[in-house]
Amino acid sequence: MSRVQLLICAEEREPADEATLSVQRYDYIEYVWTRELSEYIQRLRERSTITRKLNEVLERSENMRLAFDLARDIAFHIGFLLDQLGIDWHVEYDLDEWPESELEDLYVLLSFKLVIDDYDELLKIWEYCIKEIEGRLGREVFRWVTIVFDIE
Amino acid sequence: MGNDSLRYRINFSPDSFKELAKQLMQDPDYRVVDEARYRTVVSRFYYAVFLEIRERIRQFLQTLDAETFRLFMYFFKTGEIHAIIREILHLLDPFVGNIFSKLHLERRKADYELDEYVGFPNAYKASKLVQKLQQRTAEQTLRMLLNENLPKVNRALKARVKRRRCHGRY
Repeated sequence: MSRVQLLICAEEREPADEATLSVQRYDYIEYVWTRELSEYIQRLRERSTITRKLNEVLERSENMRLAFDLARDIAFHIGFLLDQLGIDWHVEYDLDEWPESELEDLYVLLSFKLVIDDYDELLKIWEYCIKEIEGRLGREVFRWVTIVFDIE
Repeated sequence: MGNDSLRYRINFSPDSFKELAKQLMQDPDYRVVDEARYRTVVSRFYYAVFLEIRERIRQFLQTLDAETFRLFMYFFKTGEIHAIIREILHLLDPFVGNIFSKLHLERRKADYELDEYVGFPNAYKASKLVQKLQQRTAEQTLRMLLNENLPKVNRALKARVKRRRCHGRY
């Protein structure tokens, strides 16, 4: 094959190759992203527990299911933030209420347990996470979901 | 006697509960009743901060807005005031609202949960939460936050009154 023929072939092939490469690249990115996401969701599940009390209410209350969905979103974001900070954590979803209240003040309680030594440090991380959630979802979410942090 | 007693009640500073809790935490005389001591410490820490915030909100609302003050006073001496303070704090500063909730959970454990151990770590955590709450609810800050969020507080209190009516309790 002559040099001219080779160049023609190269010119003909080039656009096709680039497109193929792009598709392959995006396929690969999607594959990695999906794998990472599913691994992350799996890790999130492993690090989460739902109390029996909450489970029972979720079966019969649509409102609590909505609040629980909100709580799961929040836990997802906070989990991600804690991972970025390199802090090991576990979360428990619970149903809670204010016993002194005559009304049913029900809300989802997200209890994060962090593997950390210092309580002052915990308070700083807690504030950082609350501010992030407020920025993403607005402060009204805290009416239905309360987020508490503790040392594991 | 009656007047003295009234004056005493008005002048009582909830901060004394905090001082009592601090002294109790370090007092060696209570070692034999260790858990009871730490349960009392957590409970007093909670009430020190709860009463202080409740009083400040009452005073500020009285000067800021008559209607919101009236709504707040409906609940003032009911058990519901705890939930109302939580709701108001969540509206003013979500971090403060969440640490107040945590302190309330610690207090509830200390006062009601007999099958869970309450010891020095719980008292220590409560002291840290109180410290943070007091830093963030200082007089000027709380007044400013209330001023900025007055319509939201008003709406929240009205919604609560409405719910109470639905429950036939108002």
